[in-house]
Amino acid sequence: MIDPNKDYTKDEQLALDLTTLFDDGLVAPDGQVSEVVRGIGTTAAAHQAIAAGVPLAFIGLALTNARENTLETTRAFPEDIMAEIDNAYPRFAAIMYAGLDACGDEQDYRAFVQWLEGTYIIMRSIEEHGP
Amino acid sequence: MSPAGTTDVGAPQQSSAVKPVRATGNPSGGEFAAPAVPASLVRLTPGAATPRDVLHLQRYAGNAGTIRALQRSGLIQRENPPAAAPAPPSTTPATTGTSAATTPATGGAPASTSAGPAAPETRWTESDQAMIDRMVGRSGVIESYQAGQIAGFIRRMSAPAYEMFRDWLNLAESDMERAFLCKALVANRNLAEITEFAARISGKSERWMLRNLNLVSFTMGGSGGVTQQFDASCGPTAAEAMRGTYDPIYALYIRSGGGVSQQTAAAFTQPETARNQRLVREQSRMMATAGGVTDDRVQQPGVASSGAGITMAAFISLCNGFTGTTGLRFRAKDVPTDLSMSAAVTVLRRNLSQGITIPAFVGTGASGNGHFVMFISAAGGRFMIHDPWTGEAVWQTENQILTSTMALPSGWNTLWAIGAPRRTRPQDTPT
Repeated sequence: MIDPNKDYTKDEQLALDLTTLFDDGLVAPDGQVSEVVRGIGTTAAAHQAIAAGVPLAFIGLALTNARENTLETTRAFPEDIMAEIDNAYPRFAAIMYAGLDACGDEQDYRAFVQWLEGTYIIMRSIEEHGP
Repeated sequence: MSPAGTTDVGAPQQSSAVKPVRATGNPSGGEFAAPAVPASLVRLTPGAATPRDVLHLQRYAGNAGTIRALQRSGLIQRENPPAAAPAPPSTTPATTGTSAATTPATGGAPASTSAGPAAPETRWTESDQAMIDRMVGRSGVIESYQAGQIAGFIRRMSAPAYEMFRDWLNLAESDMERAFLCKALVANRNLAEITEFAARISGKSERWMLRNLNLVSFTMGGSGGVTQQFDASCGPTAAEAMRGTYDPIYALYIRSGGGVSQQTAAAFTQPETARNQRLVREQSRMMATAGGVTDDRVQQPGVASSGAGITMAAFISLCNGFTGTTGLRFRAKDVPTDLSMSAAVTVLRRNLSQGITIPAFVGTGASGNGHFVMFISAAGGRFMIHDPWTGEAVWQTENQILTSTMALPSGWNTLWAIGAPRRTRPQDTPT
């Protein structure tokens, strides 16, 4: 269980099992992206992606296509966003699939896109400015 | 430069309830594993690949994928190679020559490097040309203008560079993949860039390639193309759309920045809110170069935009900055001062039918304002126009242009000027 109130060290973030990140849903009762998803969920995902060697461009392209798709389109054509990640980064792909699996409607999907965007922005920031 | 109106650029709905298919995992141990290519396994063909090339491949395809790809290409051998490797089929050169020792681009057999390097005049075969011909005219892949330059580019390559490029063609899993590799070549990309590109598009679906190797939308009902990030950056954006039409590596680079079709409200005052920092930085730089002034697309109530567009001459200069990619130089022609409307339409029709894009300035009859767009293609008396305001590609009829009744997403309706193109490269083989 990921604790949204805990300050995780970088090593702890790298060790988190993020396939459980979306178990309690992506959207909070107030309609916003859940705190754990948009908080520790994005920073830990960014750290894990960098540690895995996932190129920022791959996440950026996945984000571009995720934004342009609806949930229905992505379910019909998962390769739109997963094609490059699937090829060589199965652990990170598993996190993304867990997020997609947790999407019940378009609102959930937009929250998933926001999680991916947050992950991308943090990755870019770390790569440009250092950890 | 403000539009008369905007439209929703959301993706079209698809009807399917199929759930995503899970990845089955990487047998090499996943992305946290150390590189697993035993040194004894890798025997690169001298002159055909460098360790840097392989590192690029490893980065994008992973360890297992790299080994498979290099084995398929014949660039590395197995510890116990198969007893009988299939011989490459014989081919006929498309140009005159005395021998044909190359594998056709359409063949699935591994490249043979034992036959020695092909003579420049025999490198591009009839089957290669047939493969490209099948792709010419498929929207968003390659048009006859670029297809006609491939043979010349290949003939001028050094022997090692040619061998490497041929390997990539042989490794490609579809003709569309091969066509995009050739397109990158005639966009003047170097071999290192093509190597990285080849690894990245390897095995991708046609849907994926058409969508991600263009900045103009050919697949999403016209929406999803590159969109201007500032109030008056239509010129730079149209130039970006043009560049992406000729150069798939550039298109992939821009699309890998996190989004291309979103309209950022405040890219000038709050650049961190822009979805794609690459787009914002590039459009900002091009605006400064061309003498324009950037400002937010959406202003606070009661605040006038301080954005200022660029001139037609500056827009044409931006487009000519990509001559190395396009092989074209444009000259501004005002309508109807320099060209009558019907003559301008003739220029459009003649060039677009070959895949030569035409930069243009549109406006209305009454105001002094206008907007830069890019004519992308023509078919059946209609013209496809990329409108940077919304990133949409829309079809307009010849009659709409002639009668100044175009219905562009930005609201402009009258053609005021075009960039008349001049080729800077010879066409080697007409297609």
